[in-house]
Amino acid sequence: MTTSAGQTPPSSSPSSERPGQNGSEPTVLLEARDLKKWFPVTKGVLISRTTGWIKAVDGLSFQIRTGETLGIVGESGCGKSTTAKMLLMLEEPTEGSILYQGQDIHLSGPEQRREYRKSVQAVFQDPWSSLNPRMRVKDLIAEPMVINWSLPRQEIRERVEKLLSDVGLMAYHGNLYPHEFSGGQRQRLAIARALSLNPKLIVLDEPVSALDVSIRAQIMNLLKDLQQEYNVSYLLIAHHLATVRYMCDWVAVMYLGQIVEYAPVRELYENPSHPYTKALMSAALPSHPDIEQEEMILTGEVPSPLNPPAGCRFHPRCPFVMDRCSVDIPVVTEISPGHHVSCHLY
Amino acid sequence: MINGTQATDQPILEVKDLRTYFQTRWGTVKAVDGVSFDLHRGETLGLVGESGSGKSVTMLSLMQLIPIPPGRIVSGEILLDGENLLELTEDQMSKVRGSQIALIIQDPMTSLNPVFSIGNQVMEAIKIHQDIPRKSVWEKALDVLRKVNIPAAETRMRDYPHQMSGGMRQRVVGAISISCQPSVLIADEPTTSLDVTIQAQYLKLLKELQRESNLGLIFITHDFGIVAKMCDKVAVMYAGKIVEQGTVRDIFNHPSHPYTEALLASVPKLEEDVDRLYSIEGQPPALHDLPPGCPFAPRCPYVMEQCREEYPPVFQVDEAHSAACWRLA
Repeated sequence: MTTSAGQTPPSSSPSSERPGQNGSEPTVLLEARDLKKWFPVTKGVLISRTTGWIKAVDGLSFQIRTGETLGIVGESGCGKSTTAKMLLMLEEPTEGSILYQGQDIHLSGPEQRREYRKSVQAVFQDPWSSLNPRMRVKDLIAEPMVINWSLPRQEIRERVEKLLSDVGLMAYHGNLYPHEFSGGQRQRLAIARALSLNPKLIVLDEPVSALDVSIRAQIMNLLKDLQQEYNVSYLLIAHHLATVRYMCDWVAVMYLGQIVEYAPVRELYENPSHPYTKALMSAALPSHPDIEQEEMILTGEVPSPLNPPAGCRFHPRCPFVMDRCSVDIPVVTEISPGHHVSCHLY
Repeated sequence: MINGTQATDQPILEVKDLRTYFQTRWGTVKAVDGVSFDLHRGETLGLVGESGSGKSVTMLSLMQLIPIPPGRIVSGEILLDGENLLELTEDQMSKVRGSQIALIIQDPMTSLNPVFSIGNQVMEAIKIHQDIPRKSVWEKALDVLRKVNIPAAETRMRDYPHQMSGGMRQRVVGAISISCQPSVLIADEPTTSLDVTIQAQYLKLLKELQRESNLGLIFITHDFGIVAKMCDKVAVMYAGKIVEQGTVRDIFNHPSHPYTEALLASVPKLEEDVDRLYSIEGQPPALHDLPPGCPFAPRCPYVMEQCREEYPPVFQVDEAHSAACWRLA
């Protein structure tokens, strides 16, 4: 995966640091430390009492660096969307902290929180429901700027035109309504809107899975180009492993609210180490009929997060299960630089 | 043929020059416009295309589930085991539908009735199509549920769809469609709503079922991964027409239509790093407003003068490989 090293695209963003420049490590933009989100399960209407907890996210730690993409992969119910919601401050973590540029956002003051909300934006899966059908495109894109910045009208109009052209649309498109656009174009609008405040991080929740095949590559390439131009970081949530390989620099594989494997993208795809990652890889579809895949089809389904298995959460489905897996919780081991696995095999 | 051992000489399903048009307020929409293919027993055909390419209308035409009006099968032949389905009356067709040619649709959440138990719905199909004593219907339903690997099938028979997960529901839909031993099974994006590991289980199950009863299987999909894993033959559709047809290796190794080539190049790969994906510019055309020549011409990197004027005929590339593109002339 290439980062923007060595390239100098025209940049309109005010941010100064570029990843990989002068051979320096990209700086850590956001860090999650032992993040937890438990949802209470209640019984009774008037006198309700909590009978249990759904541990949607249970102890996540990861880093997102400036100008890089972190991918989160996992099946439905593994907690990827809850993680995204916590980063967007739409959910309060039960425990743990989110450090943005070194500062815990949940402990900082209202001014900093507002600043954080501005710098973290989102693009969602369904471009049909994420744009207000009653607003003209130019107003949709200008809305975040009108709310957050006090700019003169003229300047906002110029910025909207610039954003439209950056995402590959024409200036006249600004006068239309969302229903006049196709799925791919709407996703472009959603991206323009997310970029309008010069964010540092964009959460991409399945940004291409609702689009037609021939349109997906357009949007993926656009996102990569914009990443270089705006020097923005992405958190990509996806279930399609090939898409993640193309888009990401780092990948975290989640299972039942926990990260089971976390590695640089190439390392993860060439040397998948956790049995669950291996199973995901063998279940993913090949790109050519002659590619022989390791047959490793998991039996059963993901257990309920209400009552997760003891020990390693993957052990009831794991083909390499050992006695201690059902008792001891595996610790995170670094098996090669940057490659973290939590499994008793290592 | 790839699976020469399983495929017999006489195709079980033969579609010839099928045309299905819809009358809309924008004029006639030629959703399926001259589609021909055949399918042998034990063989899997992948019908690939984007939304609006006509793949689902083709499937609905085969089952004769096109809403009439506004739709109409204008011409063509659908020969199932030598019998033209288009000449059957609705009564005759309803005997064929479900018993000889069956369908699995995309969404297992909506294809089961929420107010009837699973057992009830599996038994319904058996009762309609098979003349067997009432007592053994239950046994038979239990049998098919076991065949699709539903654990604890006896208790599951009394469950309702909402008590099952998406993967399990899709298995039930599969059980219903194979309950009468059809000779052709059409699967319309059967796994898009399933998780990756559940998808792998389901695809494996379909392969097993196919092997067991020598089914002819049609996969309708937009995912070349599914084609690579499951299919023997491929037909690529664009704007209501089949633009390229061939064996799965023909298509992957020597794509001859620019659309197929572009589609394959625009899919990210699991096994290797891709620096930059090829992206097809523009969008699929609106079917009520097709250009006079080749509908792919406005997006085609190799476009020539001729392409904009006249629709290309089908050129034979290889024995079983053909494509409709002027570059092959």
